Amino acid sequence: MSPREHTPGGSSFAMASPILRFLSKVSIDHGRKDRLRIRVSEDLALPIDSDQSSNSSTPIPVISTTTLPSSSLNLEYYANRRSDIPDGVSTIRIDRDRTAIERSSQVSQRAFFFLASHPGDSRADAQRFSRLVEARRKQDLIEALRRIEPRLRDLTVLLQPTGPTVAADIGPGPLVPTSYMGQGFERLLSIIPAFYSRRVGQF
Amino acid sequence: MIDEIDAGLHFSVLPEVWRIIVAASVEYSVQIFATTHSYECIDAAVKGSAGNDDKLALFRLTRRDGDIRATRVEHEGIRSAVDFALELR
Repeated sequence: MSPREHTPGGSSFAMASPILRFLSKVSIDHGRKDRLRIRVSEDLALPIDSDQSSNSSTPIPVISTTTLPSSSLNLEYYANRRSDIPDGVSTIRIDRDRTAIERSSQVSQRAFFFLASHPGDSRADAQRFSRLVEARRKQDLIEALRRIEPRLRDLTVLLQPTGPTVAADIGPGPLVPTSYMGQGFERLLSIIPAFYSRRVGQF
Repeated sequence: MIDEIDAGLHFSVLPEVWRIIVAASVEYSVQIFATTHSYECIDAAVKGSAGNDDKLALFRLTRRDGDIRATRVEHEGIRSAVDFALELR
């Protein structure tokens, strides 16, 4: 069973438990609007009851923690709304009569190296580009690349005898493998999708 | 890490390339380490990072007494060095 998630402000909480009372005080000031995702840990994922006493047509979710006093909540902090992996993770645990906050695991980050002396890897480029397409971010890449190649209309992955490769639509005629579009174009095609790959932890 | 970030690019498109990379790095919260031996590339980095002044720094690596030493130059220092044609490479 996957953990349940709630977003303060998006749903109403019945602040009955110490954990939820604590969450009502959580605020993050970064000078911009941030997103705080609350992931209920597996052992706390109890059935959510509807508050039948409410006059509202929308049931108010109530999470009971009374039967599992040693359970915990995991807070995942996202600095970027489009992020798919958290920038920070904290765990709140109830220890008898006090509430303790424990720093949880650090979020892993990947490093990418683009060497000038190393030829591009069209298969890796195609894989990263495909992830970008899957996330519906292809147009962002096209608009960025169009700033240095105004003829660019579209990008797509072609399955060639040598393997998958990214090809560019630059007008009438067949699509052009991006390896023919110039080294600078090809490098940006490698670099920018890698930024997104770092986000989703895939290479 | 982007080795020789200006490799294969005409100097006239370098500011635009920097704008693209800076915007994407901010969007995806990615830190970039880029190397260059190009004066035009340093100039382009200053222009391309306009509006994100606090996000750009230059580290000049020099060999002295057998050791490699790094000198950090902030955005304003880079811009001044470029304006006065001071050597940063």
